[in-house]
Amino acid sequence: MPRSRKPSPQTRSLLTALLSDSMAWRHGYEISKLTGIRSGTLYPLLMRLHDQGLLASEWAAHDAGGRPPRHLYRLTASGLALARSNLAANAASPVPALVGVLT
Amino acid sequence: MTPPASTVRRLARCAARAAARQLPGGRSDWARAMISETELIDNDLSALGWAVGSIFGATLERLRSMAPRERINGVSGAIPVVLSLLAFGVALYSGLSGSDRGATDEGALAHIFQLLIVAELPIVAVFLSTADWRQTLSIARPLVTQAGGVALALGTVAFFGL
Repeated sequence: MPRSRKPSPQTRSLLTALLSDSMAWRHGYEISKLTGIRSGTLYPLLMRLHDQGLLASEWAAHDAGGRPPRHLYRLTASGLALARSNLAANAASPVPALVGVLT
Repeated sequence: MTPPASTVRRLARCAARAAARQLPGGRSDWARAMISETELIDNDLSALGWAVGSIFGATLERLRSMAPRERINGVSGAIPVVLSLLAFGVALYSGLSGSDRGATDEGALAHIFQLLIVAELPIVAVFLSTADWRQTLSIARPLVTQAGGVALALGTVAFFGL
């Protein structure tokens, strides 16, 4: 029987941040600034969510010459569902770093 | 014409490439993402911080992708190098500060140095017992690095005549 694990505070924080403007594609550094999660924690989280089909990613080309394309992320439909249920479950105890992000 | 990159920017690029190399083979897209994200952060220092953090993230990811035995082997291969570097630091500090020099008994730093070196032995034993002996290069490389670390630490002791 698969285990149902409670998401870590960082995962909750990440889901909530991505839910705040669910249609927007965000890059890693922007997500890091929004959530306070550093790259060392953020990348494994993003990879995990991506592997589970909760996160979509795409490459955005830069118009300015010589700049590399940027990897962008946003929640998939199932990611959105999880983020919403997570938000509802944690309404009573919001993640401190995100107080104000959704308001 | 673009101005030459600063030293910090060059370090950030090196760190981002190191992070990308740490990632397991199936993560090439994420490796590219780490490199390009670092490049697109305007502030050089922030880019360096991001890239160094990415190394930790990539290492975690690499460890996660390994089988438990492989993971133990990887960690036990790296710990002796860290211990040797610490021993090197202790010897260097002792040599530069001269804190243990001329003492009739070995000082605390000498004992810390000895403990660090001796602690490597059981960890090397774990490394050897969990190694895949069909892949000699994967055994030889960490062993050579470990030997280099010990040589550096002992060489420092010899250099300062501690």
